[in-house]
Formats: sequence, C-alpha cells, structure tokens
Amino acid sequence: MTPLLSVRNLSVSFATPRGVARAVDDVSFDLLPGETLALVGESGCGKTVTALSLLKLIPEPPGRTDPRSRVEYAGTNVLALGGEALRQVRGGQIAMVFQEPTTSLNPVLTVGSQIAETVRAHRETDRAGARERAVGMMRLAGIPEPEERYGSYPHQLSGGLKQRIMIAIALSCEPRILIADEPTTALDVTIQAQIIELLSDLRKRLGLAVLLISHDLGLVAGIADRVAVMYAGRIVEEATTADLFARPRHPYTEGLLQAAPRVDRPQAALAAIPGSVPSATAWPSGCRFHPRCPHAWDRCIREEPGLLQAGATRSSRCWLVVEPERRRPATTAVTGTA
Amino acid sequence: MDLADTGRSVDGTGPRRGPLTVLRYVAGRLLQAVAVMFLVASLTFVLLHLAPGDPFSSASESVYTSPDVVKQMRQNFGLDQPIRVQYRLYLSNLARGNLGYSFSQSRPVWDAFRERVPNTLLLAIAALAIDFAVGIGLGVAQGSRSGSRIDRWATIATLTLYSMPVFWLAQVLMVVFGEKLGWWPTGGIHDPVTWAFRSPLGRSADLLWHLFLPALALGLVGAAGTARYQRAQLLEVIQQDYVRTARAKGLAERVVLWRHALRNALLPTITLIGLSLPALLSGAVLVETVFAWPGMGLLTTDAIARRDYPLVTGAAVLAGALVVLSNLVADILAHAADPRTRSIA
Repeated sequence: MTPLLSVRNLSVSFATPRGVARAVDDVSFDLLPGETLALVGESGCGKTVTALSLLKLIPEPPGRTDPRSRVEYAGTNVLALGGEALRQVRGGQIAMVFQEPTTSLNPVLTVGSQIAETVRAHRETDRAGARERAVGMMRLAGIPEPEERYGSYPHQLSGGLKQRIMIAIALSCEPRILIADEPTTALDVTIQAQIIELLSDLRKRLGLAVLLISHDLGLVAGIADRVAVMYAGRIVEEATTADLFARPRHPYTEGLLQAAPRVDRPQAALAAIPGSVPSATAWPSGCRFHPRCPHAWDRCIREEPGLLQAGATRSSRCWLVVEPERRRPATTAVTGTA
Repeated sequence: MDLADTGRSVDGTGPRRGPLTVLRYVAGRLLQAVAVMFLVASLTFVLLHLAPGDPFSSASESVYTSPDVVKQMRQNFGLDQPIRVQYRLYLSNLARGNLGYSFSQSRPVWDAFRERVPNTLLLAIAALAIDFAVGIGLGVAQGSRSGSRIDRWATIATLTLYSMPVFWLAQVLMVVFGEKLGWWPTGGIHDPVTWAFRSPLGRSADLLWHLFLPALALGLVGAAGTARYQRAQLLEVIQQDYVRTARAKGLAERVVLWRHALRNALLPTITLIGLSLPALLSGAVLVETVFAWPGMGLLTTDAIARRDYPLVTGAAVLAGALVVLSNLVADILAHAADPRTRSIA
C-alpha cells in the first residue's frame, strides 16, 4: 500500500544555552491510509517534537529543522511549503489534537467560534454555514446540547468537553490524517476512556489515518495497528502492535513493557529501567541506549546500529538482531514476581 | 512603575461574579476611594504646614503692609488658630464639599479648579491617546516581528525615550519644533491675538495646534513604556498553546496575530491605562510649566510657592480622586473585556 504520509530523515534541533539539542535525529516512518500508528517513548524522547514538526509548528528559532528532512504528503514535501499552501494542509489535510485542552483553546473566544473559524479557513461558506457545520461537529464529537454550548467560553467547560471541542476543530474540515499528541494525558481516567472511544469510533467512520503520540502503553495496545518506539531522538523499534507486545526486539522496549503496570498480571513491584534519559545536547556514543542496557557490549559503545530488519514487518535498532547469542539471561531488570 | 508586572492576574480562575457581587465590589472600591482621599488631604495638609511660611509671610515682609493688617488677615482666615483646630475645620469643610478660599487667586478654590481642570484633562487625555496609540502600535509591530531590524531599532528608540525626563523632552520639543522650526507654538493654550475673532471651528483648530507639542511631550515618554510592555505581552502570548492551535488549524498568519494573539495580549494593557494616569498627572505639572499651559499643574506649582494651603490641598485631593476613579474604571473595563472574569448575570 502506498503510504499516505512518508517521513524521511526528519531531524530537529534546538539551540539551548548548553549547546545544540538534537531532539529528533534522523527519524523516518510511513503512515498508511486508515491505519493508526503509535509513537511511544518516555518524556523528552522527541515524540512531541516529531509530531509538531510534521506541520512546521516548531518555532524557528530556537528550533531548526534539518533541510534534508522530508515529510511527503500527496506528492509534496510539507516542510518545503509555506504561506497559503502550508495553511491549506494544516487543518485541511492534516489536523492535530494537543495534550492540554485547557491551554490549547483560546480563552477569550467562544468554543463554537473556534470551530467555525476553522471551517471558514478551509471552506467557501458564510457565517451561518460555518456555524451550522460547527454545531454538527460538536454533536459528532459527542457534546451534549451543542447549540447551547456553541457560545460557551473554554473556562466554562470541563476538561473532557474541551478535548471534544479540540477534536471537533481537528475533524471539522475532513482531514485525512489526525495527529493526536497525548490526547488523554491531561484528563481523568474515566474521561480518557471516553475520548479514546470517540477517537477510534470517528477514525473508523471517517477513514482517518491516525498518528498517536503516547507514553501510555495500555492505550497504544488497545487502538494502534503499528507502533514505533522512540528513544533519545531516534526510532529504536518498529513493529505491528501484536508483535511488539508479544515479543519486543529492543531492550528498551522490553524495559518499557516491564515498567508498565498491568491489571491482568499482579505484580509486587514495577520494574524500572536503570539510569535516566540522557541529555539531548550530549547523546551517548554508539547505541544511545547502551548506558542503560543490560546486554550492552563493546560494539554497542563504539558503533550505533541502524534500524535492522528483524522480520518481515519489523525492525529494531539493536545489535542483538544480528548477534542474538550476546543476549544475557534476565537478571535484576525484572523485580516483579507473580 | 514596574512594567513587567501590573500586579493583576489574568489567568482568571476566580469565581463567577453576579451583578450583586459586582455592586458590592464597586461600593467597596468607592469606600476605599474616600479613605485614600482622606489620607491624601491629611498628608498634604500636614506637609504644607510643616513648610516654613504661610500665605501672608511675603506680605509681612513687605514695607508697604503694616504688621497690623497682616495680623488681621491671619485672624480673618483662622491661621492664628492652633493647627489642630485648622485641620478639623478644613476636614469638616471638605466633607461638605467646600474646598475653601484661595489666597493666591482671591476667589474660591472651586472656581479656580472649574477653570483649570478641563485644560489639564484635555492635555492628559490627548497625551493618553498618544501614549496608547503609539505605544500599542509600536509594541505590536515589534512583538510580531521580534528580532528583526525594526524591532531592534525600536527597542533602542523606546529605551532612549523612556529614559528621558518629561520636562527635558518638553523643552527639546519646544526649542526644536517651536522656536527653530516654528511649526507649533511654544506655549499657551490659544493665540492671544486672533482668538477673539475666530469661529468656533477656528478656535478648536487653534486649540489643537497649541495642544500638540505639550501632549506629544507628555505622551511620548509614556508611549515608550507602553510599547515595551505591549511587546513583552505579545511575545508571551505568541508562545501560548492556543496560538499554536490557531496555526495548526490552518488560519492565516494575519488571523492568528490579530484575532488570537492580540486579543489576549491587549487585556492587561487595559489595566495599564488606568495605572498610567498618576504618572500623566504628575507629568502634566511639568509640561504645563514648560509650555505655560493654563492647567492644574501651573495653578498648583504657583500655589505651592505662595503657600496657598486650600488650593494645594484641594488639588491633591482632586488628583487622588481622579487616580482612584480611573483605576476603578480600568478594573471594571478589564473585567468586562475578559470572558473569564466577566460577570454572568
């Protein structure tokens, strides 16, 4: 299948007082029509920067997108677009839902007008038509009494409703791709479930391709078709959701899975990955995970592996793919007991 | 005044206000205003009496005035009474709205005010308009293209202007545009010769022509501060998540700036308008002196030199009332402009 969105060699760096932070380093992935691809990783691994840079939403300066980076959509490089052409892609073809609904909506404009202005930015329609469409989108996003809520200000709505407004904004112009950056992180658990249900329902109904940015593995396991794991600005493993959760091929993914709480498998204590995420101004030599990896040997310190093919539909940035005999038996990494 | 912090929160997570709570709030603020005016009156009264001399000291030094006459005058105006008695008398008169009789003007203080206050208000409002029109315009122009050459030059210009004392800037403008170039008059409120023959329209034109330089001197220094403030405000708002959302939705950059960023960046400026009035009133005293503008400032400086107790105290009370009132109005406006704090009836 031809990919809908094709990201190639995306590198984004930031000028900081402590030097250049290479937040996203040579990231490539494809998003197929109608699929949900999850981008997972710890805070600071570069997943949000990746998401924002797809629509050129990183302020430059201090940010800087490497000129060799490409984001191919419908035969054009989005990163090379500007002005009117870029404006039409944003919201019209590729839409975004952000992590914090509370700060992502303009506090001095009514929520309805914030949906309607999106409609008017992409469609030839008058005020009344835009309003009608906005109310329809609010209904689609599961907002009760949309006519009354149209004139509400963001501070008058709950977090869950605000996120529904954000979804209504994002989907109001029938985009083909939805980028959802941690869409449920700021919400209560019960609301999280509702929002996720809404998103996967709308995805199916509208035939959207979704790029889901998340650190919540439980959420990802439930709705993603494929998963790309990011660590230290790089994609370290990519696989179908089933494969990834059944048999991770990168030690970092293993660590993540062991660190995730699971209700179906009672654990006395959660495992943690030793050490902490290195600073983006000074990534470690060789494999960026080697200081925290239980299997690392000298090659890992010297030489960084590429994304090595580890099966028909999966790859892993780990020398264990070619030298599986180096794998050490599980030791202190797993502290949980059944 | 610290430009970085107006001491007002705009995050607005406060409770909703009903009309009754708004009334109570306004009543509270008015009560506060009375307290402020009482303090202003008392402080001015005490300070003036601490200063050496009284309204008749210059007369008493004159060889043409007999000491008996001076004594009689002091008696007539109650200045021979103990200061405690004078203070009580003044306050009780003030409470009844009687500002007393001006020695230097030889007429009731209120009459002098009625003649001068409109002139000062005209000057202050014109300066306020220049202050915020130039300040907001420049601040927005800078903030929307920060780091550009325009921004850097404007930063230098505003900092220079901001560091200038008002009286000095007023004199420079007067010398350059009034004396050397002769584009505007060097002083006064209207042309003493042609005023009598002018039509109402011609009089207004003459008034504006005379108003220009004093208002510019008074407004420019404020405009520099306002521009710095507005620039910082816009730069802060531009970093907000909702501005990113506006871009991500595919809005034109113009809409992002004017509709999303600027609306939020202007909210704190409304409060600043009210807060800038005290500076304008004190600046007006200096500008009026430089340009011989017949306003409250000129009247008051003259009265201070002549120890005209009732007039000086009255002017201080009036200025206090204006400042408190303008703060109240700015507060109410700021509340009304922000949907998060607007009252929900």
